[in-house]
Amino acid sequence: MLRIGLLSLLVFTSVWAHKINLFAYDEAGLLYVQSYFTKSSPCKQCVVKLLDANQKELLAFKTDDEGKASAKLPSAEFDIIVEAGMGHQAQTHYVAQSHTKEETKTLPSDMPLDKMLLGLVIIVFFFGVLYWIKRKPSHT
Amino acid sequence: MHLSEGLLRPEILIGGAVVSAAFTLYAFKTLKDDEIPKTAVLSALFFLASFIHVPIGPTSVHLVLGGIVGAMLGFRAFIAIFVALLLQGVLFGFGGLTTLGINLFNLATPTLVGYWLFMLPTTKRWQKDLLWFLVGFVPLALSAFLLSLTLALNGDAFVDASKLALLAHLPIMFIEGFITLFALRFIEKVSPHLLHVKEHYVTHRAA
Repeated sequence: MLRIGLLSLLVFTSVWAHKINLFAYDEAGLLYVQSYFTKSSPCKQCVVKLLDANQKELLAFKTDDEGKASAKLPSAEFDIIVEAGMGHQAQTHYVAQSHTKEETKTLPSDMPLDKMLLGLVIIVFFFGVLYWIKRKPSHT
Repeated sequence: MHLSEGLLRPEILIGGAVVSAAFTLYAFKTLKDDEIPKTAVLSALFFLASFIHVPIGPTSVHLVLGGIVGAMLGFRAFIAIFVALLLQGVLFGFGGLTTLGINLFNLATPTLVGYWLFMLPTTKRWQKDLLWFLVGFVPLALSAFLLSLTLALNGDAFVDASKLALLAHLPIMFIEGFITLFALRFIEKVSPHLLHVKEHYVTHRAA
């Protein structure tokens, strides 16, 4: 009975040793992540992924040897996944406190009209030059 | 539809660049001055089409409209698409300079099939409508197939992505088929001379 009890304790400890704890907070537009198995065993060089609502990857980076990492907030709301390999991972949904509207405004637009207009001007210019080159021999 | 830089093996990039460069240079060399305005307009159309995105499942695809470009330009489609792809890469990072050759090959070569379909003789209205639908549908299907093939040739790790690329473009094939059908019908109504591509090229060849 004692043997079974000790064995169970060992297995149980082993299970907990593989459980990844994930702790995150944000301040001034920066996300801080800390991940660990136990207090004395940080999740070293683990891959941290930030995913949007469609599970599309927004950002990926690694923790340092203390299990810590930081990155610029990519959006106001996302999922954080920490992967420790061998199928071990922790996941949490995160709502940022310091993601300001100004930051959202600076995110690149899908349709930057100025560049689209520039593209059209270049097309007109390019084919204009081509027309001039192609017409030249017929005038001489 | 735009393969990004740093993804493909050098032999695929070089192969695509060599073939596309040969086709494009030939198209530039044989381009007549009176074909230039139409080539410019269709280059602009192709350039703008890629900004119309359609979300499908976890991914997003965009319009290509290669069928219309091919039908109205024939081999000159290589020039129109080359210029548009170059600008999309430089200004927006769609694709890139190293992948310009393979992207041009994947997108422009199928438009020649669109041109061939457009040239087929028809006697009835429904036959013409069906062909014009296929002018939009088939080139995009072939482009999606070439895109998938490129990814699959790049390595086993890309096989899943290649299947997804093909499936994701299936709805767009139908959308482009109908857009092409209605666009060509509209052009036929307002400026039918623009569709007289066949006579145009026959005249040039004879000259």
